[in-house]
Amino acid sequence: MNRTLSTLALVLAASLSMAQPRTFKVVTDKLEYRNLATVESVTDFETFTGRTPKVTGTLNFDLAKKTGTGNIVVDVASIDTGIALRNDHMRGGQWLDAEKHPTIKFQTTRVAHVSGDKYRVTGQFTMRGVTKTITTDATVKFRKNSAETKAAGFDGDVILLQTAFKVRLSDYGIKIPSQAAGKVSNDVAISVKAYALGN
Amino acid sequence: MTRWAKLLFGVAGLALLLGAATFFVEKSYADKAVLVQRVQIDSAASGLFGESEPTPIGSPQLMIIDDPKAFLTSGDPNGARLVDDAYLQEKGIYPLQLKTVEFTAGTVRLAAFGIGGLLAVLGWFAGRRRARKPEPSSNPV
Repeated sequence: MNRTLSTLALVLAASLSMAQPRTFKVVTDKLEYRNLATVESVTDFETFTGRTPKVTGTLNFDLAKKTGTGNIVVDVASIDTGIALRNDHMRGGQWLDAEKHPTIKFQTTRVAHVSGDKYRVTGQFTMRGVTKTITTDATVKFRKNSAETKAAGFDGDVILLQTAFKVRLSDYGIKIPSQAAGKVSNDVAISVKAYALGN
Repeated sequence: MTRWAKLLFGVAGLALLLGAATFFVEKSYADKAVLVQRVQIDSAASGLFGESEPTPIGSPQLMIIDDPKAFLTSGDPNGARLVDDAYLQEKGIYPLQLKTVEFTAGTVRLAAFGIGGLLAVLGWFAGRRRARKPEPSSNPV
């Protein structure tokens, strides 16, 4: 009897713990290279992609209810387009202004489960100090701590978050210089892939 | 024909030749260009989450990459050839896009034909002015 009660208590505790939102932190340090934030800009001359692994943030995810909140922060100064001079321009005051606005942020305000690993996420996107509400699709995959996660280099429960969306530069106070008008698209495509470990 | 007219026609000819050459240069690059999707490979992490494809970096672009080792054996569902971005970075390769070649060739062509045409017109005028220049009169007044 006692054994049965203990087992039930354990199952109940496990269920409750699963039902609670859990905090996952985006991996940094030696696993940071696995994260990838990209920004793609289309110009007449070239379609270039800036990229950085410097993504931080926290996800509070309820595995049972399939909902949660979270924030993702991308370090602007580390975005690399493959050409040093262009990096300088992009970080400069006319474009992303990394000195005054060192991060690009996304803070969720509403997360709705769509199906499987797919979610519809609404949140506050901040770039160059301007915040706008955007809605995008995201994929959130969870893997429980196991031999497989360890083999992949993750020490604990791990979440993979992926999302992609487009923003208009002009919405964020970025004015394309007159000499580049018509040659540089006002829209840029942003994507984020980040791994987060459970506490 | 004056020396000036000859010079102007000569430079105009060279400019027009340069403009015409851009067609051939562009064509030779276009023949070598392939649709490329740059990717980040992390097999361990991708495998853990059941992802069959590496992570794309940007969208597929027509690129000219001479190093065959940069290409992965697999392609993507859209028909683009996958290229390991880490390999490109390691080798210091910044792939040339066909778009860049087309833009540069188009700009050079426009400038060459524009300048060539202008110089040819100037050369024609220079030749005409010389031809029309009146001979000094031999009749005493």
